[in-house]
Amino acid sequence: MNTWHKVRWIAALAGIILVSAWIIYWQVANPSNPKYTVINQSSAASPAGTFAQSVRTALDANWYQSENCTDAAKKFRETRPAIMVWNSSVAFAALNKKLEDCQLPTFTKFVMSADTYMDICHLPGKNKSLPRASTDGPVTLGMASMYAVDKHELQWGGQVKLVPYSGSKTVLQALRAGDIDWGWMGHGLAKKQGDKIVCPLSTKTDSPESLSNFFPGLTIPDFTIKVVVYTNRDERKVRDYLAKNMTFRQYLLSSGQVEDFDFTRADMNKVQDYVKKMYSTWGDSQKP
Amino acid sequence: MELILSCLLGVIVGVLTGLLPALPVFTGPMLLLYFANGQFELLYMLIFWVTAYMGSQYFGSIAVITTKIPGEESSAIYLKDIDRLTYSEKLYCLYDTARGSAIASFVALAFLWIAVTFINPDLFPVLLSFPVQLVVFLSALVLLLLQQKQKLTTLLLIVIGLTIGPKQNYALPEYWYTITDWFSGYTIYMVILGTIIIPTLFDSREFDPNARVAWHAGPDFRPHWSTMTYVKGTIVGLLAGLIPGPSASVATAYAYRLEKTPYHKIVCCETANNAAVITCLIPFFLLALPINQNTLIMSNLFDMLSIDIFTEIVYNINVVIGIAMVMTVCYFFLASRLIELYVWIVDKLHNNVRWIVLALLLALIAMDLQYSEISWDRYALLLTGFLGLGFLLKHYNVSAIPFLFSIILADKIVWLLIQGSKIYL
Repeated sequence: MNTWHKVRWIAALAGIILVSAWIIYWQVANPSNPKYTVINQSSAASPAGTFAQSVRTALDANWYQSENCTDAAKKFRETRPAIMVWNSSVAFAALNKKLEDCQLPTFTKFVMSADTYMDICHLPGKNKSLPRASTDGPVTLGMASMYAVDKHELQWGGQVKLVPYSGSKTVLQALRAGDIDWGWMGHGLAKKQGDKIVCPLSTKTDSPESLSNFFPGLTIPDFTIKVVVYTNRDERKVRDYLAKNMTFRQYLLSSGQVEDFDFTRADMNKVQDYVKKMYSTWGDSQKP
Repeated sequence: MELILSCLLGVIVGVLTGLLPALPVFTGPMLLLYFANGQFELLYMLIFWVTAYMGSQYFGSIAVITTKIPGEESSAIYLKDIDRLTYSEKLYCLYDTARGSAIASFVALAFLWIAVTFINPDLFPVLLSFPVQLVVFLSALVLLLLQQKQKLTTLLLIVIGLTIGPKQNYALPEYWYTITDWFSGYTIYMVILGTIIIPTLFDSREFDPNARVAWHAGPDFRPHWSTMTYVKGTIVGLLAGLIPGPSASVATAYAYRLEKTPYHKIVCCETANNAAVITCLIPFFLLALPINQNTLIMSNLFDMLSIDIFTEIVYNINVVIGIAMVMTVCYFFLASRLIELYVWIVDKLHNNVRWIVLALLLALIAMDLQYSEISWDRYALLLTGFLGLGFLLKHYNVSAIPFLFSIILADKIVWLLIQGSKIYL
């Protein structure tokens, strides 16, 4: 065996040992204070996706963007410690698409919840009036694909086309590009745009812009995205950290999120009922 | 500190990828896929990517001119010209190529900076409008299709990619969900490994383990500054880089025809190649249209990290371009000095290339399995499926790039079609 041949063998062995050591370090050694992995069940473009990113930033955690909610649930089961950012709209879509493992688990360690309402916006000076849609001809209203469904479209009076998007960010993009007349998007995102868009309608119930004042035919004019955060490790520690983290608090404030750090079983039942209401109102089948 | 570390790692990966043609030019972004869990800031990832990408181009020229083994298809066009160069000419050619590459990279980086700074979607939202996006994506698909010999097979590959690619799209019908579920858990690395890397490694037409550095002596050679060669190569590269698909190959093919002597043909090709690999970033940064393997993988990485490229690139472009320009100077000095040392390294590496690549592949598969969300048996099943497809495509000489393109861009294309049908029909 010549020298170069020996060097080659040693290099190959060293490589294999290094790779094995790395794998063992990641899988078995498990540092004493491991990083959490924040699992985003929603589309990255949705308000819940932005919420999940802010949780990740606050905790300096790892990130997992799931393929769908079933994949997210699987990742949550297999990863420790993990934090799931669950989204009521995805749970509704999962009922519609018959996806498994997407509903709020009954027995888990809840950290917190947050509600965000939606603004309905148009470009300045380019508003085809939504309330008088029938006289202005068809109006396109972009919104997340879960609720851009036929049953919801009918409730707008027949002259509004609901155009599906992956989430608020892509709705905003389409609105600014002039593809759609109106965009239905998370309040936080809409607020950030300043005078680039105008938002005369909202799903906030106690506001003069409330949809219920203009569209009595809508069954869920008080629509909100309900986000629930839960973990498989120490929920108190995570809750305390998030509650005290100034950047996270700032995000909640600026995005108009209504947070609840005392999420109880009763709250859980309310969220589940809300998902069922969405399904019975807009779902493809009436049997959840 | 992180910035310097990102540059250094990028240089190491870039140099190794370049000197070892068996490693694909997209090794840099592929390595980044393993860190797609938000550990690293976008800026550092961009710097690592650009540095590794540029390094692979500079040092790829050294490897191909010394060993005649093309690390990428764009170099294949001038292989026969290498034999016509004497030892002295080859050494000068390596130096001239490094100089041409530096000039082309500088111009292309400036072009990229101007494009991103002054024509970004924040200033011109219409760039992301449905008609513009549809035309851009469909043109890219059509161009890819037209460049292939087996058009029907390529079309079928595109349809398969578009079918299994969508994620998080609740506007799809239920049966489509079921189909995507059959393939759930695949990683983009698995697709590239199965359909491109392993089949290429076992293809004796592209990968000759018996290749050796062949030098022959000749009269001493003193070339003049190849100013016009640099100008021609840079212009061709800037324009060809915007063409979807094998933009670097198109650039070298045109550049090759612009020169007469083997020496200048090689310099012109490599100059054009370096400009093209930078300008091909423009459609990606402005229209979210990745047009080659490198940008396709980065597009997938940004999706996994939920990064909005339009917003983020505007914030980071000055630093990225600034560092890339500094790295251009560094690479020029690295690539134009110690040429004989690189020749020796390339020779040694190539004598053992199968071993090295096999060890790297095993390591990469182990890491991919570690991070993937599926069991090892399902991983093996999916990888076997992609491998089967890859070998089949290789056997019938069909490019896997359109498949990769459609599987990564399926989400965007399918969304566009759904939205278009709702708005306009």
